[in-house]
Amino acid sequence: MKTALIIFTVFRGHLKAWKRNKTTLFWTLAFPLLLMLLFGGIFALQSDKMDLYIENQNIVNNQPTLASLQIIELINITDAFNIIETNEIEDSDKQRIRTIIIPKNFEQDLDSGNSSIILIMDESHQSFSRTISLVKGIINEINLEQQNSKQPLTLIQKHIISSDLSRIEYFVPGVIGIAIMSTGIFGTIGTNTKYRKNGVIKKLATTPLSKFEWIIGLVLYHAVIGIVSAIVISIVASIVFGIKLIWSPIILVLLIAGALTFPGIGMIISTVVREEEEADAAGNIITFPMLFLSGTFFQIETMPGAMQIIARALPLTYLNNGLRETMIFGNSQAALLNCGIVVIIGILSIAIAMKITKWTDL
Amino acid sequence: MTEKFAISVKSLIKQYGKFTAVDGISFKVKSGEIFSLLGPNGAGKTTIVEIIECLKKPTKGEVEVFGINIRDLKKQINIKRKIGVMPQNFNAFDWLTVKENLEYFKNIYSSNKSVVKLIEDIGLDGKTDALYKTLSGGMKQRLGIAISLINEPELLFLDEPTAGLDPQARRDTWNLIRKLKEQGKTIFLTTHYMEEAQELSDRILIIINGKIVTDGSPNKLIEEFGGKKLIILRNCKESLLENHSLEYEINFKGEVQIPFENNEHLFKILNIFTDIPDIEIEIKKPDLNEVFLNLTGKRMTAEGLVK
Repeated sequence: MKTALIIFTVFRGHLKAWKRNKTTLFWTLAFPLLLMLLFGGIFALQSDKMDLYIENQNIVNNQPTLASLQIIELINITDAFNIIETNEIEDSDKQRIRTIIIPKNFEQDLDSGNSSIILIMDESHQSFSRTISLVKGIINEINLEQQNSKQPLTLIQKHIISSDLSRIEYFVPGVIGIAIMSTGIFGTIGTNTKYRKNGVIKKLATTPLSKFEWIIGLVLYHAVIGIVSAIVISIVASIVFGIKLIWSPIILVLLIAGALTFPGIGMIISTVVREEEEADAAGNIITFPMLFLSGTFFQIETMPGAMQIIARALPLTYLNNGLRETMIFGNSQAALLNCGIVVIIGILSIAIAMKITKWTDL
Repeated sequence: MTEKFAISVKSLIKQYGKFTAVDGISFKVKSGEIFSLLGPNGAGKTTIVEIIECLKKPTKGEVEVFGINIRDLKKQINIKRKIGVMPQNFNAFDWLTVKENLEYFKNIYSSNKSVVKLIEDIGLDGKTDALYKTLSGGMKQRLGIAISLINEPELLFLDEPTAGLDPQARRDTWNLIRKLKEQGKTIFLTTHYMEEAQELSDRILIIINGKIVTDGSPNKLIEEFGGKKLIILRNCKESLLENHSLEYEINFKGEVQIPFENNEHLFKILNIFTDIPDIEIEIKKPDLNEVFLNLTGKRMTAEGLVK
């Protein structure tokens, strides 16, 4: 009972300070909202080209055949698609809204008058009819050129159930992730270095307050402002961009896990690097790669291999993935996997923080 | 009857690497007294208090607070419950009000003390809902003392409680400390202000470079190490002093300084000047400044530096 009251006191103290301090309010609420509105605006103004993945399997002597290059060029000059060339078959990747496969013997078959290309797409998708008419137009053009046969090139359609993911939908969970990461890391570094410098921690250490109670109070506080900032970002996202978000208890677990992970990292940094400014710099070194590599702005799958390895070592990646899987796709299973990873990283970092935080010889 | 000791320190040593901050110090603090640790900055005062407060670990030696050994980590919490601490350069939570700060610490101790009453006692009634960061230096210090009283401690540590305060705020704090002594609390004061130690203390321990120079009541120290008492005469012609076989000096202000031993001696000397109306007479007893000077050959400045 006593411990609960003490933890609540610590928690409430942080929360009150947060509400009254315009700087902390800015970083937890205004900054992520600005970020989202700014990038949401940029995405909206960008061309309405449709992403099209092309898997060219028609390779001879490590070179794509002339005919296959020709068809890609024809698709390109329609100016309707963003062409993303891939060389691996990832049939389970639902983030590909539309994929065209140029088969192995495409050039050969075309010469013999019996060729086809494959379009994989969700038939129920709103852009399906436009896509299919464009692709058919290209096929007709090729067939007209091939005079020796009536219809050497045909289209094979394959239906998949895809999740339509616009860039802003992809982006919103990442904004929540960034908000949680930056307030968690910088908030804790700020609190720790300030209270150590001005003697508050020393005063606390002379009381019966244990460092366990102090740290748990801090984690609770970060969980609550994480939830507040997720709710505010989600509401603004659905009003401004009309995004439908799926709510699930897993989100809550993810936010709490984030409140363990990032304050934990912040505490570790401010214990190891004791000077205020140096601790801030160290915080930047940790957050900067996470900002750009954890799939907030860019999809991890489109990054170079080495970057992907780094991305998979960053805790924000799993928080972002988890939030995206639940809030956007409603895929609890994939979300739970990511959630589990964040929970483990969270418990580890808070355990390390608790171990190395000093309550004596300050 | 054996006396009750609140603190007992035996052969205490604290080293930071090769630097010895506290070098074999022993002393005892009686219950109910105001005990002052006096010394220049860097003498090791704060290190000593922080070891007693369980904030630092001693390198060697034994420290007991209320008979509990501070090395007993499980029992440290019993010490912490019974002491109130105002650390050096005290600060509370900037974004909480006076009342909220007090309630914060009240909850930590699960104390029943009335926050409203405490605010009245320290004269911050008008500032109950003011944020800590908006308070003046003197108010912050007083709130610091109030916070250290929230658990109704038997033993109170005040580390440089009036550092940086103006004379009025300093006087107010001294009065508050005297009141606390009247309430029966033991007070462990750390200071580099001679005047403060002299005004408040029952006993003073003077330390320099981590070692004890001397200890005793202010009067005893002054008696022993203060040097002679002086009669100071202004507007006094030197010719008046002739024929009286007096030992005297004339200081840089042109004042005549005549040392005396006791009251009898004092009256005998004053008798000489009864008929001379213009003379201004001042009797000056030595204070701790002289004690410090005589013991160390150095003076301590208001900033706590020795020169």
